[in-house]
Amino acid sequence: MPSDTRRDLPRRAADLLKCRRISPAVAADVLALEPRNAITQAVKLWGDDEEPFKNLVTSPAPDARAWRRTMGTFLRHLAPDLTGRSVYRGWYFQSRKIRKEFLESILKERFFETSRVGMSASRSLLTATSQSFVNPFGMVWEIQKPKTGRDVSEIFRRIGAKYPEQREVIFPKGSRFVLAERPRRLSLVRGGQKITVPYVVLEEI
Amino acid sequence: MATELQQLASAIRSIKKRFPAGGKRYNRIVENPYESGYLPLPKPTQKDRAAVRRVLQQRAAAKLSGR
Repeated sequence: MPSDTRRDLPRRAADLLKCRRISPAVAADVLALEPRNAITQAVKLWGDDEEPFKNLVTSPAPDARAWRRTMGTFLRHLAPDLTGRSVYRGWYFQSRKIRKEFLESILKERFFETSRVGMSASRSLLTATSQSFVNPFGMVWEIQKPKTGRDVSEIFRRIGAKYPEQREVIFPKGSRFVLAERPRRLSLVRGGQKITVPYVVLEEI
Repeated sequence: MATELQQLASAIRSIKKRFPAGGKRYNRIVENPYESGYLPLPKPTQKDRAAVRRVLQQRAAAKLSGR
């Protein structure tokens, strides 16, 4: 291995904010060695997928901004998953009207860009369409040919996050997608009842 | 970098205090701003529009050649 490459390998959690194109397996090794480190705990909040996480993603509080800034850097420094395997994302809207407004904008421009710190998706359609992620006002996305998604499942597993495989691929802020096909309908069963939601196919630019 | 880490460590300490573990599931509370309808989608730039056209043309060509 060339010495330059060896020098760039992260050895401590703090290095994850400096080195670039870090393999998620290497990042998992480094974080697992420092469970009390602030970076490890920041990443775990995402993998736990519970209340602190949802507050942190949206809150304008300085603490939440500090968390988002670090998570943004951490995600950008991870090497993207280039396997090209499709990933799925379920959406959970509060009303049919909000879903319609959201979808109309995408149908009009055939374009979507992540403007939050990151957008999680799952490798599994079954997981993405589960009751936790899709409600009767929801929808399902299939993202084909992902390019910028970071597969963090190994990281979540090694640091003991609660849900390592629910939202294991994260697209960093600024990832851009094209609406590749006209939306179809997808039928799902919820509590014995059939619901039908839009199934939207996107391709990453 | 050291400052960023200090800010993060301080944030993590206060976040843990303010939001104790064992909260409700994220999706049940629905705080995604897109899903709640208060975050407008970013408008595509000229470059984005060109990229959209390029991808759609590539897909159409692939579909035709696959027939």
